[in-house]
Amino acid sequence: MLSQGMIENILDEAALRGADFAEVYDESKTLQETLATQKTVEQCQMGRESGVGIRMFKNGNCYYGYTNQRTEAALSGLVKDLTKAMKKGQMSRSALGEKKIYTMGPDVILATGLPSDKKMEPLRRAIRAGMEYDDEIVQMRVKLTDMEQEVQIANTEGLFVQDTRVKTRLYIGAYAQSGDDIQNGYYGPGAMRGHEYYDLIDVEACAREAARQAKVVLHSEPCPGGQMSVVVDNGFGGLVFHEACGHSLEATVIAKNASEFCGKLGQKIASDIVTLVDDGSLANEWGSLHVDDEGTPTQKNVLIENGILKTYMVDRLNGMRAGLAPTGSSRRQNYKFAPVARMTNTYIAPGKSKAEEIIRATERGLFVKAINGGSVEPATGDFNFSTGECYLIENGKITTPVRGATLIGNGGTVLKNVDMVGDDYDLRQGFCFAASGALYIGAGQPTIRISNMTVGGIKS
Amino acid sequence: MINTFIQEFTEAAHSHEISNLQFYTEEVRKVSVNVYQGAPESNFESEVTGCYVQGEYQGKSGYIYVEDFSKDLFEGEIADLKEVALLSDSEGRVSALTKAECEKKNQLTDVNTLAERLIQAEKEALEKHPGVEKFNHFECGETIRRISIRNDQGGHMEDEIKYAFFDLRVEAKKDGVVQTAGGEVLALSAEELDIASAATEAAGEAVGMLAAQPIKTGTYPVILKNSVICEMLGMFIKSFAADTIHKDLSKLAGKKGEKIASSIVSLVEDPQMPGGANQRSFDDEGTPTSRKEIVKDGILKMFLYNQEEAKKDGCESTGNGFKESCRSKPGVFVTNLKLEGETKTLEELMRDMGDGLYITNCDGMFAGADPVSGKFSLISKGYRIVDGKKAGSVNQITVAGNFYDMIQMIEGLGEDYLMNGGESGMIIAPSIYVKELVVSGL
Repeated sequence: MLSQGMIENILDEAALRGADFAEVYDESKTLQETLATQKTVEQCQMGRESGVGIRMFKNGNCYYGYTNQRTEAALSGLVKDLTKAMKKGQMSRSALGEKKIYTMGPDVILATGLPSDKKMEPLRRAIRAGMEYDDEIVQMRVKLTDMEQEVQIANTEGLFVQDTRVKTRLYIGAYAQSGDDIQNGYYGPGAMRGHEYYDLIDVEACAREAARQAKVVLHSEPCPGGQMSVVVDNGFGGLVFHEACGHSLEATVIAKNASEFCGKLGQKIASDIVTLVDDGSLANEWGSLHVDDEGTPTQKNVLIENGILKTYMVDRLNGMRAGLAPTGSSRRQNYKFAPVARMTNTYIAPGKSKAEEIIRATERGLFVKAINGGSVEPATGDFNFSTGECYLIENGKITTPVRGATLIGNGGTVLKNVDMVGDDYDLRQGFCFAASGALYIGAGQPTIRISNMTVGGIKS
Repeated sequence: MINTFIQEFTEAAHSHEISNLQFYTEEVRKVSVNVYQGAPESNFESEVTGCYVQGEYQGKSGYIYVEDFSKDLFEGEIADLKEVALLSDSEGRVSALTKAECEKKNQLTDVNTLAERLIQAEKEALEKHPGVEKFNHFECGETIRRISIRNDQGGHMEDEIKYAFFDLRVEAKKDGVVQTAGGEVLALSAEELDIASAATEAAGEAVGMLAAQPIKTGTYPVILKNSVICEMLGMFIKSFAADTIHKDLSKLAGKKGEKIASSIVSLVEDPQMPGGANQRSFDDEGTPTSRKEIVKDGILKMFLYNQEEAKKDGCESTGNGFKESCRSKPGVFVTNLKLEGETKTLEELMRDMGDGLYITNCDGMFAGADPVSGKFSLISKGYRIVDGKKAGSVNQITVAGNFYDMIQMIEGLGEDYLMNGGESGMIIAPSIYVKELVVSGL
């Protein structure tokens, strides 16, 4: 880590050269990712990423530079390059406060301290359980990710914090084959914990779940296309709202009036039964951090409460541009990205209906049990996501398994079309890819029904 | 800095029974600028050196990635390398390195010059299409990657590539309806980027989409725009790679010599392709690169190999041992991949099609297309084509099919070549006319 003295010299240099605001983000990260199948260890990436990002603001503009050279000469050179067109200024920076240090709990078991065999055990157990699930499972592809990240953040307003984030995840992919048809399923449990996590979850059950999905999809019919009711299962189904409205509530698009939800604070944008939360402070969750990547403590942000838009997710720069206060939402993959407002753990709060009731009340529709991923254009609100395991709902019953469905819609419309919310809330883990890189996120919800959506099928 | 690290780490590793060391180093320099409403809003500048170290321990190959070159981390790094070697199943490999010096000394364009070009392009596009509300995103930048591979036997190869990109998202608005258009374009340098015409084209497209409506679910002949084809090829090229075949995840396995695509198309990889932004003389393992016809007149001619996969099949690497990122071990990727064949203007393709759809944009491909089975189902927008002419715009539909069936049904290629891609390969493709795809809408 950079010394306090060196950080102060960099901030002084930035202030002297005209910046209105300057920030130093100093990161060291150990990342180990091992991908194995039942046959072989395909890849084992072991690496240390280490570098410094310097961000400055001047008249609402942002200047960002990064390097892995940690010398004062290199960092000061970067400040000089970035500020060469800036008018010299008089900003007097605040002295750094006493460093606030956030750490993981005492019971965290770091992967770096484990013998190799012990570290790989969850991965081997998952592969074994998946292969044993069924003869049609021809391949298990399992990735074990262990990350230990230490960041130090300081700025010209006197903020000075250090945060340690330890994450572990087991991404389990299962492939089922019949003839030359190969289909897959996945399950990817993860947490803001060390390897003690694997004592808390049933790795074999997770692997069997991935294998079960693959087998169901393999024996599914092509999904018909058209308009219908859609019931999304609890858990990672919450990704629908991550795409449908989450990204459109990030300050990056709000500050540019490039979101369908601009200017709608306090207005009703969803049906009464929709409450949407983003909470980066949830203990031990995959999408959590102690402080965001600008050093603001994470918090529970109720974005939509009973259908009313309450707040956006705000980072410092776009908050300044839009006149909004930061919400502890600013994130970046690493020092190679400038931070912007992103989601952490985003979920629809539980409602009152029972899952079975929701299915029973649906005459014709699609039951989406597994979701792969999606994207959105915030300006229009048009979003899409691709599904895994799905079933037709006919006369209030789950019937034929179908595959290949892509759900499309418009965020504002879908939020208003949520007509049933279950009481079976669950939160799952995934990744989100956007402007400030690939980030670990949580997505959750209870079982939810959307009265009408376009289902993109593969059968006309 | 890096030379000292290589020398000192070699000594330390040798004294810990690690031999056959190889250092793959990437020095990456980047600049970029974002412009918003006629003025720059953010500048970016960076310089990072990463090193991927490979070595042999107890007959097995281990590797680590390093960004902090301090000597006090060596002990941990050597332990990591040994751990990876014992975990991985790959036998120790030594790539014989030849000498390759690189005279290229590329320079990055000044950010102010980039900003001025964006501002000018924005102005022209807004003048031409007053229906445009604003450019939500308008960014341009350049990257220089200097690659060097060194081993502990004196081998040293060096190469450098430079490329430029711009990325834009234009918003049009009318009577409460909002539509957007845009995308990313790459070239060898910022000078070669035709920013102004792309900005004007995107502006026209955003305005053109304002009246868009879904259409009836059914099967339609479709022209897919160049950007859609580039993205798809970038995803499905992995099926032509030996690693995918050895993982039992390629539909093309065992099909060498067979007709896998329409006889009017060929697929060529050319490391020295004029204008290709990934001009490499050797791959990330030090194997010389060369021009290859992967598909010739619809017939699958060959698969692509790196050293590890070539060994499995008892053949030579095809010079396609490229890394997805500096930190990963070499996989199988391409330099500059081009979809070739006799081309026609877009108007001619539309005339040939008669009635159908011209799809200008598909989103969500990373999740909506499955590289293993070939199936895709993607949110799309574009135009209805009636009697060979544009007849109203279309949105909120999905276009679905199977990539491997689709390439058999290519009826024509446009002449509107676009280059897209990234560090694991550049893809150069035109719009294509496909006999039929499944469309879901109303």
